[in-house]
Amino acid sequence: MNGGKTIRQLKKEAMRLKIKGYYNMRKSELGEAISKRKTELAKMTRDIDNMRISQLRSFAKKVGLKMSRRATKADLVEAISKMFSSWKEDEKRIPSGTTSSFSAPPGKTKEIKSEIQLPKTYKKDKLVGLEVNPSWIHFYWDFSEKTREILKAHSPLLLRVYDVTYIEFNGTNAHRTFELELNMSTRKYYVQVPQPNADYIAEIGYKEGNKFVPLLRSNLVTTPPSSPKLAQMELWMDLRTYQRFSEMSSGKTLTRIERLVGISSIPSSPSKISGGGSFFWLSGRS
Amino acid sequence: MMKGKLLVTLHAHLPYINHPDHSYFMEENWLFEAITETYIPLLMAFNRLIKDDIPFGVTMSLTPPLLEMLSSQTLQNKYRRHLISLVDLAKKEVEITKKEERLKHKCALKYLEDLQRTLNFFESCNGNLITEFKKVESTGTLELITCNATHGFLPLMKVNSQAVHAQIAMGTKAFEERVQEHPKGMWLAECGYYPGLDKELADQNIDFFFVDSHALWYADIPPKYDVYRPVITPNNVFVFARDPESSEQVWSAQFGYPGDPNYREFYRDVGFDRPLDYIKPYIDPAGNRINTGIKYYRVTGNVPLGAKELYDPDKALEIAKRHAKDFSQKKAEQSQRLMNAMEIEPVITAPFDAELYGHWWYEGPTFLEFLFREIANSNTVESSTPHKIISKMDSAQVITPAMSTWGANGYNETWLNGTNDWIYPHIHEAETRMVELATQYKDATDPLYIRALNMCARELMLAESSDWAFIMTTGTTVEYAVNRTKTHLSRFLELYDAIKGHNISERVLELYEWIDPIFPYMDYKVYSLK
Repeated sequence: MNGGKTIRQLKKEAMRLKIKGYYNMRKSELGEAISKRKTELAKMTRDIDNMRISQLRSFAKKVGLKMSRRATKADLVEAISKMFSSWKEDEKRIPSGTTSSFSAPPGKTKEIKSEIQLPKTYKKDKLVGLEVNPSWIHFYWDFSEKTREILKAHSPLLLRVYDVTYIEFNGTNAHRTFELELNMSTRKYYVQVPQPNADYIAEIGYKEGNKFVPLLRSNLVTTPPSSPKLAQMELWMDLRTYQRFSEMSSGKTLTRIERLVGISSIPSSPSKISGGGSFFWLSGRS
Repeated sequence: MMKGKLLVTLHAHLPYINHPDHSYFMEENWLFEAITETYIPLLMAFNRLIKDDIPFGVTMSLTPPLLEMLSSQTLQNKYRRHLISLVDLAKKEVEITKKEERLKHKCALKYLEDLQRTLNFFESCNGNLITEFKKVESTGTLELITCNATHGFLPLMKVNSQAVHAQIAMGTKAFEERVQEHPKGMWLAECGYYPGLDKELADQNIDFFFVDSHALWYADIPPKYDVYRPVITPNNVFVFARDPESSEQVWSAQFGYPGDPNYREFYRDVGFDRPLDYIKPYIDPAGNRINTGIKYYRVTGNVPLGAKELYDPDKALEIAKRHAKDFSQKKAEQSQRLMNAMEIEPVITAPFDAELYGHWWYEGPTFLEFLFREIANSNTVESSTPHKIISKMDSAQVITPAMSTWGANGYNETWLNGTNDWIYPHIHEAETRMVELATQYKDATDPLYIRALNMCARELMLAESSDWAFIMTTGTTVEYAVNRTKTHLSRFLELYDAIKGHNISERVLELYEWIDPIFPYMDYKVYSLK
């Protein structure tokens, strides 16, 4: 219902209509929220002719109309009605049933399959770890029928994450072991890990008494580094002879001045480690 | 005499969007807009510089999906039709703006002139822009490089090393097929690098690639010259790292050039501003308004779209010249400062998305042209290209760059978060199955099987494009990205089952070959394990 408007245009419109939380909405949500708000406001205009001038003023403010303080009651009624009829025009322009700029030309289906269903499971034992950034890892998993049966009988499911930096992991020799209980239906999770530039392995299993019984093991996940390293020696290559040679590091010779980012006080905010398997970044190529 | 080297690198990429089964498909306009506003204006700017004997150096990555789209006869024809219709619209605009503001009319005349010139350019090279880029390259000013096959995001693919191998190998092959030369360098999608990837690049005889700054800052050994000299990896591939200063000067939302109030405003377009019955022939036939590229307003300032003021192309040109001069001076100062500290020629690597120049920043190509003109007169800095720089080096520091990307916050968050994480179990499964198929059938001789296997590889690679995950994160045209991901994966799974079940339908295969015609020279054996 957004008439091919860009997300920026929708956000501006939502801001004008004073829609709460518009900033974090996605395009489809914005379209819906705007449309809902307009319907609400349209209902209120039924009484427009009976409103007092102060009511009209506050109503105009509510819908984002800027009116001069000298505006008469008639001016206000006219401006508000005009605005609502322009909205109706807006709605008319849009073919019905389309929720985004991706829509079908009349009488044709644009995508060959519109509701494609991918398999919910590939019925294979699999636990995969993917580094998100220096302190978060994403894990997803899938089970064979057999493993699913075993786990069903031994609920809850346990996800273990081992810090195995510089270790040949044998199942019991990790530096640190982290554990989390999960629901059988959970199929992916984001976990926070303590160290950048460190190696992690995860296992999924269950508890038998006090003993952890692993069923799946993940690939090795290395979190990316987030700080410079120290080195006394540098390695160089002579490009004419292709010989490598070492040189004492001369220490830092370049000073780069970077923009300092800061604020005058840190606002209190809820802990970020709330889990739940999804977090959202507003991002883009920097 | 020492001179700093400025390495302007333009990454030209669009996801592969080609729907030969539809006469009009809105998302195909992304390519058309990029041709009109970025690729042809850049080519024209380069040609003017060459004509005027201005020495300059610039690097462009033409990614395989872009090369494939630029080579497609179907898309060329659609583009021609699109452009002719735009010229038609511009003519109407010239007429109706006679009765409107003077500046609008002035703009309309300029649009008509520019669009006609663009059309002439396109016709005079017979629609073959790749040849035009090659012509510029042959003068030694432009260096063309490739990208991994479908711009797949490699850090999240490394659990399937054969899939990474296929992306790098096909990225090399596609460039050889379409540009008819071996690519010396490769742009890694989203600058996504992880230790060990250099081996794959070395195996394809790729001499250099690009990374973000922190790939060197957090490398195994600190770089002696920060990001200001290329380094070499343990597998002997050169690495150029992004200079943060250059990016900020050009792109920072707060301090960057494109936000100047005199530059053209992207979001006010006649496609939205004109009455529907008038604009209808130039927008989506379904009636959805779209950007046409004819825009009359300027950035103005932080005001609502309705309060934007009229655009004056002459004023904007003046500002672009001034910005080019300013940037050139900043690069000269930076070079001098670096030369004093380094006692060796600094290399300032400034990579950008090419489409930002012209498409988003309308005056961008003009800015670049004037930048090269300014820099040609400098005693302290000159524009250059990677290969020229490498060929003059005596030694290079050996460094393993750190895992990094040029995305928000520098790692994988843009391509792995709650909006798009659902794609990876499917993509990874398809990769595993592709390797299984290609290994099992590596000696296949039945042409039908070979076609089906190649089609599997195409569908997989199309699903792997980082663009889909990126779009899901940004929140615009998400539905299209979701559909594309699912479509390619389900076509892959269908063909996989057909091959395994020995019931390949030639009719279905033909259909897929027609609607997803990327890489006609695909060889699935790139996925075979030895």
